[in-house]
Amino acid sequence: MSTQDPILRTEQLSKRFGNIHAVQDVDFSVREGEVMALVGDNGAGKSTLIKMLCGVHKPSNGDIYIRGEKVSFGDYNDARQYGIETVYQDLALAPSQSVAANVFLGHEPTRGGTIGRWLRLVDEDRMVAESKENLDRVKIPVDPEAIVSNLSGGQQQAVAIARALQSDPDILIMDEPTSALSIEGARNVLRVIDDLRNQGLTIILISHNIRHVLGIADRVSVLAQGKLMGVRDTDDVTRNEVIALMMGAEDESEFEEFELSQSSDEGTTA
Amino acid sequence: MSDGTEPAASDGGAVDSPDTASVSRTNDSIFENLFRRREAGVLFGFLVLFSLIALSRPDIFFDWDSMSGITARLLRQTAPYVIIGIGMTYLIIGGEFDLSVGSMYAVGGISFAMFLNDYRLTVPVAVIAVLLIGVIVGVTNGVIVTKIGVPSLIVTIGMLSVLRGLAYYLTPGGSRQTPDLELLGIFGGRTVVGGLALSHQMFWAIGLVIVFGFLLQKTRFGYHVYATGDDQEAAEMTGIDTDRVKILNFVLTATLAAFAGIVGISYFGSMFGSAGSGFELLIIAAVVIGGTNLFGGEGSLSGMFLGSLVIGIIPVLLVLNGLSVEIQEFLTGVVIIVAVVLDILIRR
Repeated sequence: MSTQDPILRTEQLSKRFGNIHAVQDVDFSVREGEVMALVGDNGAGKSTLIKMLCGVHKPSNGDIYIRGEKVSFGDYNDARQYGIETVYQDLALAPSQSVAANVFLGHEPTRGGTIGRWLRLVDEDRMVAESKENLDRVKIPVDPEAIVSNLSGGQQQAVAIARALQSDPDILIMDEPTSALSIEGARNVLRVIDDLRNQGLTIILISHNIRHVLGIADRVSVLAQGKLMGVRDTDDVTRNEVIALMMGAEDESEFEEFELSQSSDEGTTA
Repeated sequence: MSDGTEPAASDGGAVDSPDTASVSRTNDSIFENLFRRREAGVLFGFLVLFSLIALSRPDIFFDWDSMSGITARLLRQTAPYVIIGIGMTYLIIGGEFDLSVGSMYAVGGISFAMFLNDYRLTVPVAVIAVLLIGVIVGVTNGVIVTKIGVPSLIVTIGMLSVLRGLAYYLTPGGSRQTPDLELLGIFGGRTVVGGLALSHQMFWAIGLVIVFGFLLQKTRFGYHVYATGDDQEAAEMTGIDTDRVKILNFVLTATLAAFAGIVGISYFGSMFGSAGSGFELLIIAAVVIGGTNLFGGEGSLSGMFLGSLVIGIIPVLLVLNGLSVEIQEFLTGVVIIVAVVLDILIRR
C-alpha cells in the first residue's frame, strides 16, 4: 500500500512545441506504491507529460524529482536507470519474434564461457525460463516460445508488461493499456495492475476510460489544455466531477450536456 | 458500455501455437527448421524444377557424365549468389537492401587481380585489401542510409553506378587476368568427390552459410537484426542501436560481394568489367524465394541457400531445352516476379 512520500514529483514542468504549450507548469506527484491515474481529453498533454517522465521529450522548463533527487533524462535508458519503465500504447513489440525474444529485446542474456561472451551468444534457455517467471507475475497465460503476432491483444499487453518488469522497475507507466482490448482482455489487464500494486510497484495509468480509472486507481490527476486541473482520491470523486475537471471547469453542472455525449462515445474511444 | 472496439478475442485463454509456416527464429535444430517450415516448400520447388530436367531431357538426366557435369556447374554458378545472399539476407531481415552487389562483385574480382599483378601483393594481403574496399563501400552505403536518411534504393543504385564505372576504369583492356598462382586454388580450384568435380566456390558458400547462419540465429547481434527489421521504433525503444545494426549489415553485404569477386576471378582466371551485372536482382529474388520477408523481420540463410538453387536451376533447365538467351532472361524475370508476388500474397 502507498506511503505519503512522493516517489516521483514534478515542479513547474512545461513543454513547448513552437508556440504551443503542450504542458504548462505542471506540479505532478505520485506516492510510492499507489496507482495514479492520469486523465484528460485528447490534446490535454497526457502523452507529452508522460514522454518527459520516461525520457523521450526533454522539458522546456521545470524539474523532475525521483525520491527527492532532481533528475534529467537524455533518453529512455536514463529514465530506466532511475527505475521508470513504460508500456507504450502501441506496445512497441517486434511482432514476428518470439515472446521470450520480446521480453528481453535489447537486453538478451548471454552465455558464459570465452566463446559465449566473445560472440555474445544468447542464452535461450535462460531467456525462456526468465520470461516465464515474468509472465507468471502478470498471470495471463502466454507461451514464451509463441510468436507475438499470433497472440491476442490481452496476451500482447501481458508480453509488454512482462518486458517492462524485466528490469525490476519501481515505477511503471502504462499508456492506455485497455484501449484496444476486448472486455475480458481489459478486465485481465486491470487485474494485473491491481496485482502489481499489491507487489509494491508504483503505477502511473493513462486512460480515457474513467470507469476503469475510478475502479482501479488510488488517485486521479486531471489534465486539461496542458495544465493540471486537480488531483482527487478516487474514493472521494464522482465520474461527473472528473469529466468537469477534464473540461477545465470547477462546477460540474456546466457540463451535463457534454457528459451525455461523452458517455455515448467512451466505449469507442481509443 | 463497451470497453473497446476489438471483437471478442480469447484474452487470457488458450495460447495459439507458434506459426509453423514462419521462417523467423525458433529454437529448432537445422533439420527441423528445414523440413517443418518455409524451407520445405522451397526445397519442393527446387526438386520439381530438377525433375523437369528428367521429364524434358531424359537422355541427359539419366546419363551420369552429363548430369554430374550439369550438377557441378549448377552448384558453381549458384555459389556467388549464396555468398552475396548471406549479406543480403541479413540486410533485408534488418529492413534494407543493396543493389550495388553485382558491381561490388566486379570491383572485388578486378581489384584482386590488379593488386596481385600491378602491386605485387601476396595473396593474403591482396584478399585483405579487397575486403577493405568492401568495408569502405558498406560503411559508405550504411552511413548515408542511416545517418543522412537517404533511402537505400537511391544510395545503392548510385553506388551500383559508381562501382560499375570503377570496374570499367580498372579494366582498360576489357578484362583483367589473375597471375598463375597455386594459392588461388583455395578459392577457385576444384575437388573431385565421387566423380563430381566440385568447385571450391561451393565449399566457401556452404561454410559461410553455416557460420553466418549460426551467428544470425544465436547471437545478440542476430536477434537485433531481426528486431530492427521487424519494428525499428520498438527496437530503438529497448536500447538497440538500429543504425549500427544496419551499417554492419551493409558492411557484411559489400564485403561478401567483394569476397565473391575474389572467388569468381580465381575460378575463371579473368574477369570483365561487366561481370556480375544483374546479380542484385537474382540475389534479392533468391533471398525472398527462400522465405525472407521483403519488408524485414523474418528470414533464414537456409531458405536463401535453397532460393539460390531455384534461381540457379532455371537457366540450366532452359538451356537444356534449347531456349535462346533472350527467352532465358525473359522467363527468369517472370519466375522472379511471380515468386515474389506469391510470397507477398501468401503473407497476407
